[in-house]
Amino acid sequence: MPATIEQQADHTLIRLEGECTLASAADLKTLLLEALAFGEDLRLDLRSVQEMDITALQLLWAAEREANRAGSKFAGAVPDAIVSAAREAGFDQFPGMNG
Amino acid sequence: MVDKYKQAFQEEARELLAELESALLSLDERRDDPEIVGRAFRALHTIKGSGAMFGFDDIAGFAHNLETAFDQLRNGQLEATSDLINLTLAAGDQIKTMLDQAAGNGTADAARSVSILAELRQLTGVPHPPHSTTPISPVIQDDGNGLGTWHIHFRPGPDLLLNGTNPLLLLRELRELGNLRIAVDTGAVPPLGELDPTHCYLAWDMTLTTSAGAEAIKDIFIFVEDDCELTIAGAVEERTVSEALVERRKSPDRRQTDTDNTAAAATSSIRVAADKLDQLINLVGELVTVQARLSEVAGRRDDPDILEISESVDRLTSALRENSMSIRMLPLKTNLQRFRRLVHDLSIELHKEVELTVEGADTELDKTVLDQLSDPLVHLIRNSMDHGIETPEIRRAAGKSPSGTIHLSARHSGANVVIRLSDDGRGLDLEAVRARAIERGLTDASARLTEAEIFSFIMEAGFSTAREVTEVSGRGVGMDVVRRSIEALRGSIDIASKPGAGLTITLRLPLTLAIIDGLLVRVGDAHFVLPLANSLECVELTAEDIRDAHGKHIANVRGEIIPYIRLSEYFRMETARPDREQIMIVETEHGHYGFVVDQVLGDHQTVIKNLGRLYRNVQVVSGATILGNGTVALILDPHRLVQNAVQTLSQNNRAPREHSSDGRRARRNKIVESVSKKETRIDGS
Repeated sequence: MPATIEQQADHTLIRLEGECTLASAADLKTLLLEALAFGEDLRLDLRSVQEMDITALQLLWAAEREANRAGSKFAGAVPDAIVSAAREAGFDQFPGMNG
Repeated sequence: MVDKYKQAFQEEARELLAELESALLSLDERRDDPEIVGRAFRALHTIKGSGAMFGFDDIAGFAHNLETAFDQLRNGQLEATSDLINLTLAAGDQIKTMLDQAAGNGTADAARSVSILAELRQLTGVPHPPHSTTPISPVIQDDGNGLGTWHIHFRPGPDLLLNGTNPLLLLRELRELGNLRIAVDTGAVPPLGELDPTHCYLAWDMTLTTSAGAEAIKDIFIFVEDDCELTIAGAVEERTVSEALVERRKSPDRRQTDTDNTAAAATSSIRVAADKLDQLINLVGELVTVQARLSEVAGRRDDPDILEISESVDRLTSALRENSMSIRMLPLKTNLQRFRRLVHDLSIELHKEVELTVEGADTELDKTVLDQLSDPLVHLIRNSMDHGIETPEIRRAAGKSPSGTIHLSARHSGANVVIRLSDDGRGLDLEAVRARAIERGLTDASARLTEAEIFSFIMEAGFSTAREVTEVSGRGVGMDVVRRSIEALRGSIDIASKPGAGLTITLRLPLTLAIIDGLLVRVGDAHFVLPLANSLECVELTAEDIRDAHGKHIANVRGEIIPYIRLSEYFRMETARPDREQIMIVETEHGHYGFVVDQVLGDHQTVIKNLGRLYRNVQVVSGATILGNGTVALILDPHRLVQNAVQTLSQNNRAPREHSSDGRRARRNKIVESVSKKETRIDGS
């Protein structure tokens, strides 16, 4: 799971690629904690993600909850496939789901 | 739902409760064995699961709370204390009464459930939320298109992901079954910093509208069933319920208990009503009788064709008989559970420390025998616990270990099973028993009685030497009931005791009540059957042997001295002694003995018929059988016969024809004579 964090002018950009699965779940958690630590709005780019399992969905959901609690926005460029995967898993709130 | 399936649940739940009880009692001995905790947990888990599935919500809810406690136990958050074990045992009983109530027998005390749960909460220290096994009430009915609506609650266990399961795939499979509405429960997801990324904290509540049945839904979860919380409820079609039950048997839940023989047996067995088996045995019995006639006719005709057929039928009948008898055989350990629980409960009630040790639990007995044996054994164990084993203080003062032992052993001995129950308690006071017997007019002070004979008085109705009546036993009823039950099984009881050192009660029971392999012998024109299992060999008794023994009833068989009993003398049959006699050598508990008969006719498949109530006290005869030619042959009990003969000899100073002090035995001989239609002098009268 190649991943990058970029600090942009008004937000932090998280870009994930490849497979986000159990094997990389620990890395993803560290990455999200790091990104949240900046305290800025977050933007998620999942366009190059090929596979995402429940661990990643769980982490991203938790990260969004954290961001919202801190008053930050958590928007995302999330491909439809992942949005519908999140819907299928029963999430009614997920990064990128509402725009 | 149709009663049949509720019945199936009832049966399954009772089995599981037995399993739970067994696990709890083992846990009491080995407090920190995770295997046993797992067994108890799985039993509770399955009771909860199928309870919810079949609409026994109260039971499911109750079991859920217990399951939670055992989950904590499994995770090491809770310790297996006596309190917890006893409470769970009580809870198991409560579930049993709830099952009884559901079956229409009595009512379960709801307050009792509440108090058990309250105690449980105190022990676990965790307030249990009201159970949520059926989060959405099952409401929607089959709409006529074969579509049913199911409510599914699925909460993966924490390790589900590490075990390689992908819950998203499970959800996708569910979706393939029909229209799925799904909501994720994220309530348990911790803050990101504390979140273990490999744990699944999510839970799902789903509503599935599908034409598929419960089994299809359960199939999806089959590999995770033991690693998650799963409830499936809804409009249940009858067909699917039975299949789901079958599925449940095959589920990993059960497979994990493979080490446990009973569970393993359940996976590869079918249930058959006991009365169907009885019918089968009856039919086989008839077949055996007809076969005996066929052999007889074939032997008379001397037609090689008929003889051959007769022999084939004989072989088949005998195989069929053995097979159908073995179906009814159950190991003693089937009943053991009940005894262990009894000892456990009574120890608490009586404030005594007692350990039950068991030997030969795999010894198999006919189911009928086993069933009828259970009550007498329970009674004997109660007696031992109450009157036999002393309190720890008294035991210590007597220089014994404060903890008493009750030892139950079972083993085969020929066509019999010998069950021995011994304790290391205070034993019986020989003189007290004798005094009481004289007081009650059962014997007189001058009678010379053996120890065994004196002890046998305690089995007379209303006989008790106990000084006080306790809650457990000691009302003077009991031993006579035990004796009657054992005698109804054509068994016998012997009591041996050493004052201060304990009591041993030996029960001898026939292996089966139906059919045995016997050896047919002839004395005069009467026929007798000896159980083949006890018979060793047949030798000729020559005039030379008789001369060499100088009038003593002893034969020399290849250097071994074998005492013998001449059946014609024993039964006072006035028949001419033939020139050549034969000795059937049998194995008894007293060693090898010979029975002298006129002729050994050969082996005989013997359908045992009871002699009827009149002959109940005839101990040397264990039944009768009908021969091929329609005549009756008595089935002898070699052990009793030898015992009686030995007693007669010792009591009457080696003058067996003299007066016998035991009136009952004299009566017995008279009965044997009248049964075998002989008019002879009655012994001693």
